[in-house]
Amino acid sequence: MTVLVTDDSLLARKSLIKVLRELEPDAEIIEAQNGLEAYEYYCKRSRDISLVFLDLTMPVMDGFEALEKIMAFDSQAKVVIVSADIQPKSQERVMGAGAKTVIPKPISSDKMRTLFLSGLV
Amino acid sequence: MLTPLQKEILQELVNIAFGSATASMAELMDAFATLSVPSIHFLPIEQFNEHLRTVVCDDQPLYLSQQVFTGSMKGETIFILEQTSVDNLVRHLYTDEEQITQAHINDAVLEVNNILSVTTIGKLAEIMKMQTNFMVPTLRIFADREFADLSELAEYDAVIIIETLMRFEQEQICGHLLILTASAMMQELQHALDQIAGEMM
Repeated sequence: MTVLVTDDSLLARKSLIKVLRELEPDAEIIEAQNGLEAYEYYCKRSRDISLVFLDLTMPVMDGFEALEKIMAFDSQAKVVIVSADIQPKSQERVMGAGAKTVIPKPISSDKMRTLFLSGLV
Repeated sequence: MLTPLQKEILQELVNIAFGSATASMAELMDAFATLSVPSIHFLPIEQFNEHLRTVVCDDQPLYLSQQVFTGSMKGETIFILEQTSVDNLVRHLYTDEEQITQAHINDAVLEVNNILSVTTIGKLAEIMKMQTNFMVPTLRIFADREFADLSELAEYDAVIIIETLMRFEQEQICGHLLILTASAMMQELQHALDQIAGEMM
């Protein structure tokens, strides 16, 4: 399993990778620091990447735009939004753009377990 | 600026919004967290720098993180942590890290600001049926309480000051969250508060 973790915050990426490793210890992790990096990694490795975690508020390219670009490149992409932006309109926007689900920051073991048990990813 | 009823409703809405932020902070810190009931008051922008000098305790270095939000709810948040609080925060968040660099410290402050500000403003916008988008936060470190170069804040003519003290089981972290708005936004805010008052009564 190859997972692309996208967040401009090192702390947020490390937290997410830590709880992900509890469930998927052998997963290959690719880290991206903004939406553009995530999009470029996805285009290069789309055959390998089975799951993308994407923050929304990021420099260079935000998560909204990155999500749209990734979904335009691969409509089957599995993208999970991890964000502190809990507004219903933000959630509607990303779900409308093809995100599988939205997880409110900060990520936790329980939230990650719920995600994997949901069958969404 | 606001009527007593509008102010009372805003206080309650901020309490609710801070409830969400408290839950998020507790998850981040993996510890039971309490945030004191936030106090709210308003200031003209000319008095803002002076107020900043009074809210910080002493001459410790200060970490000041700013985040702009746009949309029907627009303005800017300022989150301030003193060095002692930053040290406590970093010690708590980076337990596995062998060497803590300044980049780690800055990143932790920015991420805490992001979670606290975005959760609070996002929840407020949701309750008030407004909409907002968040820009990437920025961080500045001041050696003392001199905020002279915050002159760019002059575009805001009203400051809603929301202050809270975050406490965790073992660590004490004192943070000040301030929300800056322009008068156009204040009118939107008053309208939304009046609508909520109408729905309640």
